[in-house]
Amino acid sequence: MDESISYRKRTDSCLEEVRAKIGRIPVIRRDAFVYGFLAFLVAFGAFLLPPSGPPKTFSLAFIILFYLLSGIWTVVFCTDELKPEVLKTAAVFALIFVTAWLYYRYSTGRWEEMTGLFFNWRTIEKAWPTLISGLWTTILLAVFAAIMSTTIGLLLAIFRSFNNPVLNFFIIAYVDFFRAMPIIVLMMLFYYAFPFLNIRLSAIMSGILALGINSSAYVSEIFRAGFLSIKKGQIEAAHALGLNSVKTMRLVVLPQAFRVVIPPLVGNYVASAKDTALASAISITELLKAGLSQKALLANPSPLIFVAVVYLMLFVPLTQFASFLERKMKKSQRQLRL
Amino acid sequence: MKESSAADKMIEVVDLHKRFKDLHVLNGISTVITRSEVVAIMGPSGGGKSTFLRCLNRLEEPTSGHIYIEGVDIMTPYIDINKVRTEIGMVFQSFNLFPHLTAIENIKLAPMHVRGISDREATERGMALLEKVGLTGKALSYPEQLSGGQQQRVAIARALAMQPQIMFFDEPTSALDPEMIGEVLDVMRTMVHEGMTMVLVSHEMGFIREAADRILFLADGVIVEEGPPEQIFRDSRHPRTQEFLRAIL
Repeated sequence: MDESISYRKRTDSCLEEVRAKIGRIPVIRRDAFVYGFLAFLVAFGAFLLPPSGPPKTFSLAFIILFYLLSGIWTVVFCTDELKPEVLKTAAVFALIFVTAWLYYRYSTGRWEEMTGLFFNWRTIEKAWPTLISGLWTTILLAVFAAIMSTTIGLLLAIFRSFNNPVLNFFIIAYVDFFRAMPIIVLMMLFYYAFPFLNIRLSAIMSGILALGINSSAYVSEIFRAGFLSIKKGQIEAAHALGLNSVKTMRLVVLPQAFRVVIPPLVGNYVASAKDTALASAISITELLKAGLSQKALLANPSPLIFVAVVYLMLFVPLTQFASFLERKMKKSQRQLRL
Repeated sequence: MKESSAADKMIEVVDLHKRFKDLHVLNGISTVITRSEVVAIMGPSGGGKSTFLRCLNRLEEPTSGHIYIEGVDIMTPYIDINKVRTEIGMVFQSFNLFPHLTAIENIKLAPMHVRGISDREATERGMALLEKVGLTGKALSYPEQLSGGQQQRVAIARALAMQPQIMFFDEPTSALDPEMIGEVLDVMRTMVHEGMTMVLVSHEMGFIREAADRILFLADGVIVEEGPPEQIFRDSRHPRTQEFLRAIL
């Protein structure tokens, strides 16, 4: 009985505190003010803004005032800790939309003409087969280059872990050389120069080789960093148990390094995939070249815009995925650190 | 003192030197460790205790000197040091369990891949060892899920899985919270009673006094004094030893 009375006393005093605190909430944080001002801005934008077309000086000041007020409102809204996150995100997007809308309304750009030129769907339909084949070529280059670079890079890193000075010299020379050498130059060497040594490589092979070798230099460094991140005690414990170098590498080092290495490795694959665009220099019709050639053929830039969009659609998710892996790995790394 | 015949000499160290560039860490150590003997190595930090232990299975490469493990000179050029290491089990201060494997997998790894034992038999032996260290319930746990004391006990079981003739302990309890030291020392006590040859570097004076047959007091790279615990603790002769004991006891 006594306990429940004191509990009630406690909740009552809590309410008192909250009421006192509410009284002390600053004006700009109160719901009434925030949403009232929003309503005012919406009305302003709907009715009081000058009509579309280039604005006169006075109207311009008006527009800028409107935009400034919207911006300030968004900042005030987003810095409020108590407002829900969803609304804050919506507010930011709304501000971006307002920016674009203001620009569209008051700029003197010929928007219909622009759409007709740069986003011409009929042209893209005509260019479609070439574009798709270009896309496949890009994917082919990226995948095979990735396979090649991983294999070579892993082998190099393993040889490096033997700490043999002679071997190390050659490996370091390889890595430094191919990190410095521009990929385009490498591709041209393989495609145009090698025939003089009686090595005739097809364009695709030259492309894959150049991309793979360049990427392998980076991959070997990534694996090497992965190996070094394994604590020395692990290797000592493996040796103390009688495991030789090969078994230690296979059973202890590689499984642990694998987890550490995946995020930067995926990042490297994405960078390498973007480099496939360089293969157009040795007349491989990958996606970029396809877009360029169709643009020239059909006298319309739409295929190129389409290519740009495809690149974005391919690589934004991939880079997001690589960052996601990195974050996930950092979290589990903290658990493995003993 | 036991009569040491040639067959009993588990480890014989002759004039061991270890230099790290300019630092002369081990300055001519010679000793013999016989079967079932428990030798404790004590001394101030930097005196060379861990380095000495790690030289014995060549985790550190000695600069000069001879080390004979069961009569075999492990310093000869073409020796298969990994084969020698299977006869010596080592327990580290920082446990060094393999984090990507469960406790039982940690224990099974070496017997399966070095001695070629079948999975089933390795699991059986592994479970028996886990029972010995009192951790059968944790067989499928990963090291990160175990406490320090549990990890160290798994580490001991892992070392014992290779059925070594000699066990090395490099400050096995120094990284443990006080409540967990006891459980690890209990396991070590069992091994002493079973007659395992043990060389341990430790600061656990109580355990050393109770379990060690001989103490080597190492300072500045030499064996300053050696003898049974009672002799060292009660009437040590060398001023360096006395200085150290005064500081810690």
